[in-house]
Amino acid sequence: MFEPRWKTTLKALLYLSPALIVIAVFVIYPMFRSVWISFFKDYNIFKHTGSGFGLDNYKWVLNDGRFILALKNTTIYTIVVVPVSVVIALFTAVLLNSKMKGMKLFETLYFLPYITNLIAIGLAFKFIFNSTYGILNRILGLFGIDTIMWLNDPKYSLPALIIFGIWSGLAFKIVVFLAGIQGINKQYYQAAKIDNTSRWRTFTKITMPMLSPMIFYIGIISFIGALKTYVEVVGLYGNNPGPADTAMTIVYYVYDLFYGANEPPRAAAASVILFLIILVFTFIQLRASKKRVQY
Amino acid sequence: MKVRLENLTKKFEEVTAVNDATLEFLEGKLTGLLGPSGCGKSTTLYLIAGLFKATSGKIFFDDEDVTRKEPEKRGIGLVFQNYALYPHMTAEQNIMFPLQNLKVPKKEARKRALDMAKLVHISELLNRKPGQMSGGQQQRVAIARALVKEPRILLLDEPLSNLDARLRLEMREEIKRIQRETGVTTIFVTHDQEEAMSISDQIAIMNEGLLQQVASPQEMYRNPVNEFVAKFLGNPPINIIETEIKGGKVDAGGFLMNTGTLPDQPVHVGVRPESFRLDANGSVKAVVQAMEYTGRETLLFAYLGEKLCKVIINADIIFKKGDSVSLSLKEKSMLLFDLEGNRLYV
Ligand SMILES: Nc1ncnc2c1ncn2[C@@H]1O[C@H](COP(=O)(O)OP(=O)(O)OP(=O)(O)O)[C@@H](O)[C@H]1O
Ligand SMILES: [Mg+2]
Repeated sequence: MFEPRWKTTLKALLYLSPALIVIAVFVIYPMFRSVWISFFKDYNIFKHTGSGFGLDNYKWVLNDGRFILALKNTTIYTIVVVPVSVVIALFTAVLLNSKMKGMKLFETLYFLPYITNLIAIGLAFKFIFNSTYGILNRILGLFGIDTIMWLNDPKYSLPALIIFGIWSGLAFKIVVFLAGIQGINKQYYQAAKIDNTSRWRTFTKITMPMLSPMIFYIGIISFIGALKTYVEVVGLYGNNPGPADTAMTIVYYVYDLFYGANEPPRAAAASVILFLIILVFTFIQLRASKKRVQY
Repeated sequence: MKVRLENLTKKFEEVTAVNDATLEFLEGKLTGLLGPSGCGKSTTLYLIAGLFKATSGKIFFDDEDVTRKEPEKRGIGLVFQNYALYPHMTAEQNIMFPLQNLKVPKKEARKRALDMAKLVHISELLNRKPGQMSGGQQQRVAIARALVKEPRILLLDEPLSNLDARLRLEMREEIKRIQRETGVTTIFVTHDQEEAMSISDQIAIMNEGLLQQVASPQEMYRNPVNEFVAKFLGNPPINIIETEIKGGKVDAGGFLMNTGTLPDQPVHVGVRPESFRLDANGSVKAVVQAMEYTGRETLLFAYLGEKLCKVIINADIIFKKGDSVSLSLKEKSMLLFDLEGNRLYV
């Protein structure tokens, strides 16, 4: 450790400057700009002139039925996708780590979505969800469940999006968990074995607590990711957010306002609202984790 | 419960970590498993624990063959080299963990954990996590965790190697005391000969996967079966003088010994530093080359023949470099080894 001094600070800034400039131009500036834009009733994004400074856009967005729907959808999506995908990923990682037969094949399989474009996977899922030919309905059919119009029935479009969202995020989570599990000292497991610890107890009392910082990290990342869901919608539905907007998410709503309705100030207001939501929840999670995350 | 190994062998791809070991660990006693780094001590321990599967040979607990038994069924307690305490659990939770696995009711588990903590003197540390304890304290928790389920056998893998010199001595006594109080058959792995000598009822010494000798510390020190064992035990180490048997006699730097019927051959003669006596009538005169003071005794360096030997003398006597000393040897203190290192008995 050494004390930061002016000289060293300047030197560090110099080294960081290429990255800082890029970030400033493409992230920081647009961020402030969009906050700025969000307060104007009318704004010309090419000439940078606006009129009607105030909170009108926010009022409009918060009263827009489509925004409320998007908010509701995104909330449901997040509440389901984050825990379910974390749990599935955790179990899969444990399974992969147990070196059972056939795991090599599986290792390739679970990694595929990670290196494949989400839009392409969305296309594949369109086939899976296809009501007549899709494999999902075939499988459900085996259990005596009637044909479901996954993508065309408004009742099922959000569940379809959720299934897709869970699946597409799995690969990354599994990779991280697997690395985490392999980082745990083998001796803990040997000690547990000597002490006659059941597999379930080994998982809940040793693996989980030791992974808790990682589980938390993945939790936050995927929570933020879920609140910003957009590509999944496009991948599954193309240029509409599901039948009767039933798969509309907040980011899709923002995008739609911006390009579809050509309302940049309102889109900006919506995105600022999303930003605040994410900020508040992440803050709460960080506070909560201080108490929960082990060692 | 006694533990018996029969022709036990463990091969990893290229290395034979344990090679055809046959020995018995005495019931209710503490056996020190001693040897240099990489000689297969931990492997032997893990074989007994069941964490490694034997390549060939058998392991018996009393008369039961446990070679194929799963580790969790063997009823052993194991203390790892770096303790392997669960970092997210308090000392108490660590100690209770094995009992909860066995579905011991919470109340009883707690009581037994507390009793165990008392035995290893950590009652006041029960709410600390391993990260908040010193090495010696962690080690006691690890021992408590290993003992709480009342194992039939306690295995300790170099448990003192992470501790400083003073704590080592202290913990050595503690382990001895705990072992005596519980009477559990104990196998204690170490590469420190002094530690093994001081703590063990019986020592098994290994080298490169091969078991060399099994004996009480005194017996092993006085009567090593080969040069390796003779050199491994004792600090300062035994003096080895290279010489030869000629006509039923050997001359080691002036000390003579009848070798009976042994044929003429080159030999190594081992003489322990404490076997020498300052003796005005001594048969060998030598010149002091250097002195080393430890307080309790003094180490004197002098040439016997061509070999610079270490001689332990009383700390009260002061020599200086160049002084001449006259030495004799205690009875039966010359050990003969052939060039393969095997002991030659007269
Ligand atoms: N899992 C393993 N795979 C391959 N070789 C191993 C394995 N474990 C041990 N060995 C080898 O077996 C030999 C004995 O190892 P072991 O750990 O038993 O030595 P040790 O006597 O405990 O040494 P130390 O005092 O350094 O702990 C060594 O040559 C080691 O490299
Ligand atoms: Mg070892």
